Amino acid sequence: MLVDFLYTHPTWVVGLVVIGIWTGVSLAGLYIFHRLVDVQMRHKDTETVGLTYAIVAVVYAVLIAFIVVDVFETFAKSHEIATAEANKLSNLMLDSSGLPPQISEAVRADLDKYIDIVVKSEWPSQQKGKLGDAVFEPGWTALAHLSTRLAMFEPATMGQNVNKGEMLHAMNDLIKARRSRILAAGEHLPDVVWQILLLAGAVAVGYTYLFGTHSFRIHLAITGLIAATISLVFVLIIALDYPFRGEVSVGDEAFLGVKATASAALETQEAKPEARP
Amino acid sequence: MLNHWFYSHSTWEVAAAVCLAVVAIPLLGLWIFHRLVDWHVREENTAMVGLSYALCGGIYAVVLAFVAVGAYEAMDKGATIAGEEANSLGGLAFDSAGLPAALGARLRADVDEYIDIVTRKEWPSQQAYQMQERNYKEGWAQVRRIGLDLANFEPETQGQATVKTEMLHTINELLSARRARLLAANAHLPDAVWQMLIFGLGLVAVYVFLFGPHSYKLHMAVTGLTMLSIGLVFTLIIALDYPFRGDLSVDDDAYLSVKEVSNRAFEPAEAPPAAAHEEKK
Repeated sequence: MLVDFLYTHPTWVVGLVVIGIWTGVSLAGLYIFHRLVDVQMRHKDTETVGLTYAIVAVVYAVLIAFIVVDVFETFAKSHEIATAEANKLSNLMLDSSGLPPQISEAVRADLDKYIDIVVKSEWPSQQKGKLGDAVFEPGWTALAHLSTRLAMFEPATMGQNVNKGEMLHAMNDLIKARRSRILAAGEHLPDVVWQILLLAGAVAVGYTYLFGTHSFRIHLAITGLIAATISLVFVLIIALDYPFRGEVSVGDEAFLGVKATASAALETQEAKPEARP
Repeated sequence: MLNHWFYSHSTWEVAAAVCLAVVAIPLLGLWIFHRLVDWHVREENTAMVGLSYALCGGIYAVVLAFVAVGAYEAMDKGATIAGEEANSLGGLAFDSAGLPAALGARLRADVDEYIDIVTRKEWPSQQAYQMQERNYKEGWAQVRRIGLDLANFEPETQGQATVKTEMLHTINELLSARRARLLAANAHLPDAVWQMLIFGLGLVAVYVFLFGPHSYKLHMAVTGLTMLSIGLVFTLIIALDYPFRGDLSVDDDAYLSVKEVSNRAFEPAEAPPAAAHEEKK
């Protein structure tokens, strides 16, 4: 339910909510702490608190920064996976022109159908986080159909045989890329990592309560700014996590590009004989 | 023994136990230290301790965070390896359509059986970290059977020869991925790294003891919170280490998906696509 909210609203709304809640709770905690623990006692030891805060802050800062980098890399990798899948479709389209016309047309029709399934059905489902087997079943069926057709095709010439070999290889790469995409669509930061990030974040913010500043407003400002900085990074992680879901996600442009290129190539092929006298 | 406990209990139980130990022992140490070392001496030198603590603490913090990230990346890599093995199995099942019908069906049945061995026997063994060779013998035998069946097949047509070449390539990838998975399932953070992390924790704790704040309660709070933040990262490392073991580990979804997809693709009721296409024409 929370995940649904995070990925069905624009990033700025999610940002406002996350930063608002995290900072608000941190400031409320400071207010309560300030009432319960004598500020004079804390004031005398502010130097010690400040010096020892270094390690808590560095552990947390390095950890959260690395997690952001990792989530960003996963996002970039997912983009590469989608591009690899589209590239293999393009290769198959191109190589199919070396097969007998009947098979070649059938292969292109299968590829077209597969791209339509991916773009019109799978992509919207991925963006909504619906990743049930039923979503991907039509795509797998179309691919199985195409793969079987290719494997059963008996080449009549050496050239066709070479094309078949290359296409089988591309087909296997396509299946790999597809399965990798489906796995990547379900990938996200494990719950335990989120729980540790939140708890360690609470420790990092809670540590600032121990400072004993002359002005409570300054104390509020310090705690608020630290909490806001941490929650800003949370927003970045949320936006980049689930690489195929929500506003910031991998797009289907590569697949649409393959379809457009293939259509243009087919038109050129069909136009050629007419141009000849 | 301790490892076995970590990976046979939920992450929350492990977190509670680890954080309790990492916080309670240093607090006890602080209590003893406070009684043994004069507070005035420490109070006079707090600034000096603090400045040097920045270096010691900083190094430890960066190393600790690096180890946590390394464990996280190892887990990611484990999932990638499992995905590659599953992909090779999917490739074999699909390509088998180009072999003579009887051999194709036998090969698909063998691939199915291999997936059953992996998901029903090897995965539970990996999760329990029973990495003795005998637990994986059956899987090796099955994969060898598939390889031998394919290697001994004599193609009668050019098309079959091409399919055989592609399948031999895929089976080699399968063997590599299987071996990589078993190695990854065995891999974990070296004991030396753990020893260094725990020794470093001790050093950091002693460093915190050296501070001389006016309030003992605040000294306890500072020590407790510092240790708690380290304890949380320890928990994260434990949860992510041993990528195929315990509560948080690589799952076998990719294999199950391959089985389901290939079974659906080769349902007996379905007419071969080539033939179906001819009929349409």
